[in-house]
Amino acid sequence: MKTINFPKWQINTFHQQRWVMIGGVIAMLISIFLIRQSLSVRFTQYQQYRDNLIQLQTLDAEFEQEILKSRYQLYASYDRLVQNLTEQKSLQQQLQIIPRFVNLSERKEIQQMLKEREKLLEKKVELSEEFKSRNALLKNSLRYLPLLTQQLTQKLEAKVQSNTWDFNQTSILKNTLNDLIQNLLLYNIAVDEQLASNIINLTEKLSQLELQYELTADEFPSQIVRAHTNIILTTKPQVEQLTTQLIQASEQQSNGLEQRLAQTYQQAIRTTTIYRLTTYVWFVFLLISINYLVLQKIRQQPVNTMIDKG
Amino acid sequence: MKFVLLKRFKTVYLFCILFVLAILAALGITQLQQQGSDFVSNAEVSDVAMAAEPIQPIPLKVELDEEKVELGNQLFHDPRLSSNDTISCATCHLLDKGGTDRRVTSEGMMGRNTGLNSPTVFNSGFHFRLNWDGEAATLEDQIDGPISTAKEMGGLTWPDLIYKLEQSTEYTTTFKQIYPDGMTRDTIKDALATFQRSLYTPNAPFDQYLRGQDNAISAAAKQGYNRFKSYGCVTCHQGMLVGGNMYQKLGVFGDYFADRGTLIESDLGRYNVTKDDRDRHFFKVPSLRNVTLTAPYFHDGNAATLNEAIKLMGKYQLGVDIPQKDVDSIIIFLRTLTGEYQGNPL
Repeated sequence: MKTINFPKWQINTFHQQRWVMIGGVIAMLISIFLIRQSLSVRFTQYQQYRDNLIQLQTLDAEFEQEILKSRYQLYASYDRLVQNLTEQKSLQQQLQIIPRFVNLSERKEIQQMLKEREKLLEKKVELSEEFKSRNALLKNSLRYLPLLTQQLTQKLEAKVQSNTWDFNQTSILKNTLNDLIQNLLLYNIAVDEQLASNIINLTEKLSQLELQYELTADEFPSQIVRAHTNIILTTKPQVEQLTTQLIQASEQQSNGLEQRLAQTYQQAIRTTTIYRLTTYVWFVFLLISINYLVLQKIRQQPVNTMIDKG
Repeated sequence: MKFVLLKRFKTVYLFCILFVLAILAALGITQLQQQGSDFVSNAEVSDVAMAAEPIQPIPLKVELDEEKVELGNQLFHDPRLSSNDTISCATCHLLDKGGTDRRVTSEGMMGRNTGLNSPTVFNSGFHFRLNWDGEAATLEDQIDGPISTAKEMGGLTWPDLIYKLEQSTEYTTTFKQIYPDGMTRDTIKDALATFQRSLYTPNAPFDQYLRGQDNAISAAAKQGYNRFKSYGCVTCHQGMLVGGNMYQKLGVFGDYFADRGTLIESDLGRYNVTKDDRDRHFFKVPSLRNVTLTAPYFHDGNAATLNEAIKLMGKYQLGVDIPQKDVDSIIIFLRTLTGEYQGNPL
């Protein structure tokens, strides 16, 4: 068996080539890593996510407005509240897709914030259901009492005209009823707790008058007036509380997620800039190294050839 | 020299004409834009006018995929969705009976009592939640209920149902044409839900009135609407569906259930879903759209007529015996809530 003995310089060249290949692969991997890291942070991703966040905040603000409108306007329609919460849920779902530029630790932080928002949204849905039911009860009584008063006074006036009822007694009853309605309407929108005791006094006065004038339930159904008055007195504070809770929940929802995202985006841009600079330096270094190796090769070539010939 | 001057003059002249034309074009565009914004503001004004009322009209047109609607229509009327091929969705929701079966409580498979009055399927796409207790959040979710309940449609599982429907080449072909995934649980639900969304009933006389057509309803109906508001009915029956967007307790004044007797499971209402004591006897406020066609009323079908339903509402929700003339007046108003389906009056 014949063995081939390579000259020493040729063995060195093989070693060199192996090192150059290994070095080349490493250089290529480093280059790929650096290029990947220095690719621009996609503004559109950030913009879209931020837009969703802003839209969510806008919906939140609109939700607050709708709650206040439903609370204080004479007529409420809850379609917009329902629609608003549906849109918020849908946006909340979209926000689960976090942009790529957000790194792992920040991603976890944002996910945590999103979870909190989700919980608050669920709470808002529950509260809004209670709000709608209670607010409807409150408004129901507020709507009906003036009609009831009108029907009662018409009845009493008819009796006065047919001379079966005393005019002064009718006036006293009418005035008490009107005072009660006025106080109730004020109580609905005011924060003055004194009004509540005024209302209680007026209902007591109505009961006394009912007894004093010996009125039957058919002639003067004061128990209905009292029942609706009680509904207003008990439901109004509940509706107030629910309104406050809903607005607080809305305010808590804006938990600085937008700011956090902006910080993350700026950080991502800074990191990318550093990688870009590193990539630039790396490629300059690579260029110089390749040039150096090529020059070395050219220099070595005639010497090797001469050694071979010799 | 003269020729050069003439050429220059022509160039300047052409330039001036182009400049003027450009200005005119710009002015024209501005004018058009102004007209556009005027149009928008007019629309806003009419929106504001409608927003002043607690009831809003149903949109005249809802954009839907017609192929899905047609497929959903076939599925809706197909008894193969039940385990013994006898009950379809349309058994309890007949489109020629106001979207209900007009029974006190509906009969499911083998004549079994479902224990609930069938709510109308018309306008179901606009409801905030589905079923009397609001169990289902969407139409797609709602479909699970009747299909999987033994006493309603026999309780088929989805794989069994898909296997049954796959025996029809017509279905498999149509599903493949419409959905890339073909026939699946989700696509069946989607087709059915899309069909149900197509069951909207716009252009009721009251909607025409809300859109500014003052003579669309009679003076008596307007009076009825005022009564409807004065008695506070509108505090729950509001929005586009005149209901269908909130829950309310049945029996604010008095115990409706004790007076009626024999408590049934569905009487617990929303409590059956949440198990929260505060939700006992709370129900989704039903829509009053097309209400004159959907008797009997309430979850238990206890009110045979609209007259009775209004009186019961007065008694248990308001604590009063509403005078007959006011009941009649409110009924006149409620009649104006009957809309059109596919351009024809219901």
